[in-house]
Amino acid sequence: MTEKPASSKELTRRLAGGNPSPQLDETDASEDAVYAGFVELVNRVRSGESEGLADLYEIFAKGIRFYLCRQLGPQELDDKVHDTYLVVVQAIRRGELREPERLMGFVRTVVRRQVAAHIEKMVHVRRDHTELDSSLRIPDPRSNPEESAVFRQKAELIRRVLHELPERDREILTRFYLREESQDQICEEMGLTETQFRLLKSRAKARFGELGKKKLTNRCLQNITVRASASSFH
Amino acid sequence: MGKLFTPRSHPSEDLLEEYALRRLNEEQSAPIEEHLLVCSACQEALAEIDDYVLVMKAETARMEKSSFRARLEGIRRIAVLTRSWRGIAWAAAAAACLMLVLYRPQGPQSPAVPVELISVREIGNNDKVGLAPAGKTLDLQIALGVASAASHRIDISEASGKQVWTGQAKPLDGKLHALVSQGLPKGLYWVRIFDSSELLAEFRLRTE
Repeated sequence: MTEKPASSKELTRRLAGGNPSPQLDETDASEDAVYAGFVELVNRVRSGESEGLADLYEIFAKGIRFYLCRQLGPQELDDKVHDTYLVVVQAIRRGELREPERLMGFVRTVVRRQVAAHIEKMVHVRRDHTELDSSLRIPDPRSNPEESAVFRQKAELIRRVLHELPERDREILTRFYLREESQDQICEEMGLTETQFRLLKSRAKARFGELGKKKLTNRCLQNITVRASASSFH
Repeated sequence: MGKLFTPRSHPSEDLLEEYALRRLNEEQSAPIEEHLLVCSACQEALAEIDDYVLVMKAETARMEKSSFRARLEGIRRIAVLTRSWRGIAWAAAAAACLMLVLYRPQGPQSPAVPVELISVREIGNNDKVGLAPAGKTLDLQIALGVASAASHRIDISEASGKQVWTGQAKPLDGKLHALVSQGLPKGLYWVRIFDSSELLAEFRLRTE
């Protein structure tokens, strides 16, 4: 009697390791079960089982999309996700995945290759087009006006957070985020303990979130007030 | 970084931030990327961190730029101020130099050398000459018998006839005194005393 294969949802749940928490570094998923799930899934894909293909897509499509979008931007994202998925499926079918339990690492490798290939292609395209049209520009990742507006609002919140901070704390954040100095270097040069450093960073982040929520609440209240006053005219 | 993260657990927020800032090496980032391929919650967390890092970078850069500008402006102002102070200092120094040039402090003046002049006409002796040191202030003294007890004009001419000094002689202690502050070079001079335009007496003066 064969065991029923783990569904894509079950596999994802096991892979995700339960409820995420910022400080959580533990897992409640059994590694053996996950590996067994991958081996099973890979076998189903190899055999051309349509449900296996669907499960593979369901497990990885969102992650592939996220990775590609983060690396290459939102342009033609659906096509890129589809291409990557096809490459993974074909590679599995050809038997290129020798260790099915390493499926996650394999998918990552394929995605990274796709990104590298796309970048290389873009470099060639840009170089060829630059000779013909020097006005060719790299697309702005925040070309969407709504995204630009959101970015401006976030920038305003950060500005408020930074202005509320003492000069020394501002310098610490500037050194970490802008000058990309390491935590060890900053702590050593500014006489901070690791805990103080983490606390400062998390406080700034928390304040950012707090202001963001407050702003969102105010906006909701404003909208309600506007709607209420508008409806009173009718 | 401590314990290596495994793909089947959620990375901590700090680890995700390090990943977002691209500060992890291949060995450290591989399991995080594998986890991100299958974990929606961590994808969302990373997207938020990406946004946070992006705006933080932009704002700290903007603040640093404006702070740099402010510092630059401060330095410029100090430079302008220093320049103006330097200008004032230079002007003051120049004024002091000018004062020194224009205003010679009197100080303890060397006393005028009294020179008793004897009228040539009066004594009828051309060999009698008043002797005085060259280049010194002279107090030329003329006996009142030559002139009245009033101010008289005195001219001093070189032997060639060229006038080198003119001034007033005033009566004091029974004599007429003419203070010649301009030191006379070494030579022979004629000293003439006038009552209005009339020559009253003529003296010989030798400076040595």
